[in-house]
Amino acid sequence: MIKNKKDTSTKKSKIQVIDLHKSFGKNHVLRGINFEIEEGESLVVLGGSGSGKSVLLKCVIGLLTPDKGQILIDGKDVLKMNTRQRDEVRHKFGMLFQGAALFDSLTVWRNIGFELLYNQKLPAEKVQRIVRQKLKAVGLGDRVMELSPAELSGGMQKRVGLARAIASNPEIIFFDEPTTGLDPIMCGVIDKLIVQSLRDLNACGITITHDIATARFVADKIAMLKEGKLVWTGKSSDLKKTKNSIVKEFINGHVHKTDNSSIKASKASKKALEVATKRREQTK
Amino acid sequence: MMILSFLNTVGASTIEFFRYVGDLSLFTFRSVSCCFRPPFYLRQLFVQMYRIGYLSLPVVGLTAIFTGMVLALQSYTGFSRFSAESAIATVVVLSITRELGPVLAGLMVAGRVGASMAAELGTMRVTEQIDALSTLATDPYKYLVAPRIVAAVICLPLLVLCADAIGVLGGYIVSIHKLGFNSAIYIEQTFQYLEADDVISGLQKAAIFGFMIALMGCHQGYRSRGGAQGVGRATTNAVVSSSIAILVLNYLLTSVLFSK
Repeated sequence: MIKNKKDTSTKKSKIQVIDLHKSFGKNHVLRGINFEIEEGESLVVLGGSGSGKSVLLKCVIGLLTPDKGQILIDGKDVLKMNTRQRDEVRHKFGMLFQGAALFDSLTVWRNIGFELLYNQKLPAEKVQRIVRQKLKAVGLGDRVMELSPAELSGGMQKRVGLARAIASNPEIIFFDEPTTGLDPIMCGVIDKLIVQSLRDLNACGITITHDIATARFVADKIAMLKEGKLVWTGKSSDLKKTKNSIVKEFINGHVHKTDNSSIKASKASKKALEVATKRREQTK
Repeated sequence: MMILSFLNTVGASTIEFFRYVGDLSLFTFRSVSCCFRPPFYLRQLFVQMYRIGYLSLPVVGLTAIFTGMVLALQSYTGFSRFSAESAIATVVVLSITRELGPVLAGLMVAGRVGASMAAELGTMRVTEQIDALSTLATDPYKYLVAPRIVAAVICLPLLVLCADAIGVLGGYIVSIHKLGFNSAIYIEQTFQYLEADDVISGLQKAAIFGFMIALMGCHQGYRSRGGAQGVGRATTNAVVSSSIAILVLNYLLTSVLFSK
């Protein structure tokens, strides 16, 4: 169990996750997660595939209900709230999904202004004005407003997704694998937009990624998730200096000697490959 | 070992069946309750009414007109054997309004709309669009499911009303132009024994079929998993389950409510 050092500044705790557990059948995905994010702080959760990053994010947003633990937003436990109270908390959230998750049936401006238009019931002209500002903030022009999401490139979809995430000026923004599937230049653009959005809104952010470059650029604080546990937490600047073998292994892309499961899996796949090659040669 | 394996399969299937029934019951309860609780998404409702009602009209109309035409021909073949041709108009109108109109319209809409709902919601599920709705503080049941259910319950009776009129017209066309009936007498015989209850009973059935089609389509789509294959499976299941539900409910409703 890792707890972050509390500094002496007056910043309030925005999100606090305490002893979070989540299982799917016999698969124990989250095994006691603890972390705390303060106002205006950006946390990046690093981890390999299947480490539980997405499940952690979905639990914090409220898309999944944890089996055990507490999730405090502004000091209030969301797991003890009724549906209306949870909806009120969700108004503080913005989220950028891995595949942008734009609504196919709506135009770009209706996607971005969805919450303002349908929940806050603002007039269409006002929403369009806000949408123009948000599009400008993510580096897109007015010309995309009437397009459908299918007419946009992957990078543009991500930008529109980001514009939707920041449209209602949220206090907390979640980024799910924001740079996956993008070229290096677009990755850099999205990273900059994330930092800029968080700074402009003075929002706190949780980003889950396996991209080290994104993590270094975006994070104030980094947490390393492995097999459902946070095995390392520290400042972004500490990432290079850390002696934690799991973090080093993740950064360098090497399999650590003590990681028996990885070594076994690697040996098994090598052996399977050898058998398959032999068989193919025999059939020739 | 064989017996254990057999028992294991039976047990797993039974658990899966009850899990499905429980899940469908909870989904139905939540969906119906969302139809009556604000916020109401009227734009979504009108879009769905356009898709379910207006866009289904051609296929329902075609089905109805040919059914009416065939019904007149077949009735003539049978009734002419004992000189009861005068009953053809009554048989056509009663068969269409009480039975064939709602059932055939229901089955056609199940194929067209049920599949479309399952595919659309299924794709939204696997591309995280439904999760995105939740993060935008919007209840997916209220935004996606409730408008579809309400639209189907409103539109199916309207479609069936059109199907009744078009089906009777089909019977009229064949009877007048092919079988040589007198137009005025045929029209008189059509309305002679027709009661308001015959039409209303068909419309009641249609409303229930509309509910089942939207419910099955939304449920299968909403719960779909596993990418394109999962969406395909959901679409097939939606059509099959809503078609079976229509046929079973048709018998139950006829035997319990309308057999008096």
